Amino acid sequence: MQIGKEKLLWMYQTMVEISYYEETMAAVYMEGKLPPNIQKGLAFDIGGGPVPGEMHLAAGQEPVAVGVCAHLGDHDTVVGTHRPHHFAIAKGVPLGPMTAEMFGKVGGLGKGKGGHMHLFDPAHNFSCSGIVGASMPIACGAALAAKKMGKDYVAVAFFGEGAANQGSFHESMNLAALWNLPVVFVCEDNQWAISVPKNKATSVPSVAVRAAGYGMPGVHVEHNDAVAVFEAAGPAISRARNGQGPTLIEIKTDRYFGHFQGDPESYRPKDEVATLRTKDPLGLLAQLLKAHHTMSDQEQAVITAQAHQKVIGAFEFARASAYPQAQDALADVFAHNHADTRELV
Amino acid sequence: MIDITLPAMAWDGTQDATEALLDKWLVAPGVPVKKGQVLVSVVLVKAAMDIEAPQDGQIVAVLVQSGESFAPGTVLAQFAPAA
Amino acid sequence: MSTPRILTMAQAISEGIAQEMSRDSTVFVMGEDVGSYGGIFGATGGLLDKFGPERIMDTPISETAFIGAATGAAAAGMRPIVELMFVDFFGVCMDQIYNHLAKNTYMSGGAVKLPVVLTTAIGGGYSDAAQHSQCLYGTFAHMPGIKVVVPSNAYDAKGLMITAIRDDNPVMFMYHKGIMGLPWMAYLEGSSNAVPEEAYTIPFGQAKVMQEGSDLTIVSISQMVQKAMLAAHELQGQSIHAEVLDLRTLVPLDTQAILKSVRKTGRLLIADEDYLGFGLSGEIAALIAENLDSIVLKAPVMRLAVPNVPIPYSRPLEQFVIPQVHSIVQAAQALTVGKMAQART
Repeated sequence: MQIGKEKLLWMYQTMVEISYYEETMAAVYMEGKLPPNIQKGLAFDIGGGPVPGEMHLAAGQEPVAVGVCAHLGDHDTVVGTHRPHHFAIAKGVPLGPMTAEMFGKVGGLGKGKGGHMHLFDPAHNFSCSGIVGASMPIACGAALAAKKMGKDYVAVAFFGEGAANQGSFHESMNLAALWNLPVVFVCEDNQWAISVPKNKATSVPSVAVRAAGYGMPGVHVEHNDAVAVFEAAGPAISRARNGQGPTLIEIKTDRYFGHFQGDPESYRPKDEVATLRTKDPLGLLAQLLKAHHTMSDQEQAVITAQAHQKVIGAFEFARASAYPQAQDALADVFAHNHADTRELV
Repeated sequence: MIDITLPAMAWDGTQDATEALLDKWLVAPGVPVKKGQVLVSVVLVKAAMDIEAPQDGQIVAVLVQSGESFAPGTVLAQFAPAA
Repeated sequence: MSTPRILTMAQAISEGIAQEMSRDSTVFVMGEDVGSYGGIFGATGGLLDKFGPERIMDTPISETAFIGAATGAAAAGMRPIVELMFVDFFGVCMDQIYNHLAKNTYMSGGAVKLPVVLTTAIGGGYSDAAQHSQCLYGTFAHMPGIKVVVPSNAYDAKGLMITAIRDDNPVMFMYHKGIMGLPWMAYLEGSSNAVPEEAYTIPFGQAKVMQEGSDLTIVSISQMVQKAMLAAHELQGQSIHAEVLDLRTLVPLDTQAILKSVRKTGRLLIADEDYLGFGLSGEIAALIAENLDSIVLKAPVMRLAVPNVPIPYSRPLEQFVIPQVHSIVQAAQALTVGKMAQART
């Protein structure tokens, strides 16, 4: 076993946290959205309840987040997607403020102004966007800055297989290779872009082959397994850190929920999700840990209980946090200037 | 007399007490219909579903109106099979 | 006498498209999730079953490519309807829209015809935050070369859609999500109304007086028209008689209808869900200012619009920045306070 015990345990514990978080959010999201207590004539009220708007959950995709983030520190940058919770949790974003943000509360990461697709945590160099393909140019920028500042920090851009068909992907790949940027492009292939399957949208079976077109290594990870992701991400991140430039990694993963919560998924084969769930990446890692005596049943129970406590605590924090004042909507369009640029107001 | 309902299976995966919306009745009571003909469309969370006539016959009484929500097991209409 | 057939705006739009597609084999639809999903907001519901995948085409997430392809196909003799899922996504494809689709006809001296309908979803009010809640019709109306159509109800939507498809010019057809009549988003019910079964057209550049009144003119478009109607009803109870004008199209704009109404009432309230600065409301105010030789204003022009801040996520903040029914009522009261005082003397 090449991977350190601590790393493995961290990956397992973080996956348990992510999984429980998504499950909890799936239930909380539905509050206030279903009949009978909504506008008459509606089957679902997307704007209702404590967590209004859209919600995109990453259940099933935990291995991608932990396998990559296990190699990263606070100084490294992660830019995520509209389905960001697993990346945020794995990057160390504090759960309380993250959850409060999704409840639109003042105690949230963005004081309630961003919501679930727009989570910003500068202290952990984490951000995400609701626009498909937006993560890649931004990650290139973080990588460019690291290079200019002479640091060995790395940037990771997460995106879906659908985004690999967006112009920003192609431009970012070229720029990163051309300028030898310390960035790793991680394509999370969950096979679906809302209702469109990969084979109806993408001209090649594996996006990893596109790396060659831009002059960088391309790696395909076939199994949605934390250890496999860890082993593929390690060399890519080292290369970047050592000034050897970018890599594209494509990981085949599984989307358990619909594109967004409430998605009827009528486009998806009926048994697909049930079949995917049997692959159970968390169970597989637990088995591995126990086989190597790295974790006992008792330790697993403690890890699970602690993860649950952490998630429950985060939701309690969010519920208890106050809503912002209406007038707060007008603040924070522009940041405050330093004292010596006051006159530039 | 047959009870027209949304089968319990449709509610799999939803939380307890989630109600569905009766969107629109497509056939009026007393109008003869054939087996398989769509009687009513309903929406559960975001999934739209059609409920078909179980046999040739007609709707005798509508118990849930268009625009109302209903819980699992609710009888939506009474249906009389053709003799 | 048969009861009128009430359709939602989404149903009316897809019916208009279907009728034109049956009539004209050069009409086809392209966009993300327009096929089996029926469009994320229902605009192409039922069309895949009627016309098949060769004419109702799901695209990859490649807006520059497929919107550019619409331009190219139109120049070659087809009549594409192409969907930009959310207007907020215009950033990834704006060059093809405003430098090509909007300008090629002019630059060719009128030789090139581009009969493209660009459909897109606009509007907020359900907590979808800054990147998914904008209206932006002001932005598109500002740049020459593309017609801008923004219906407020099902009847208008079908007629305007048929006109748009038959027009040999690029038309941006913007439908507000909060009046599509979807069963999963609260909508203003005035938007679902009686729609004739046969095909019919509504000319562009023809505003509609939704309700006559003598005390003030409320000029509006899209979902805000429905809010204005609710406000007008409330104001009636206070003996304030508002005339509500639905612009229906911004390019071309029915300037005569606006001037006629304001000449009659002497008071103008513009209710706009786009940003306040440099947009629609300013355009209308300028129109009035330029015609003060023939209009007697009893009060300064009043503008209600979204302040120049990104749309916030948190519900109290979003409801503060987007004009509500009560804000229209309060503005109308403030505007007519002189009238009430006069009446009492």
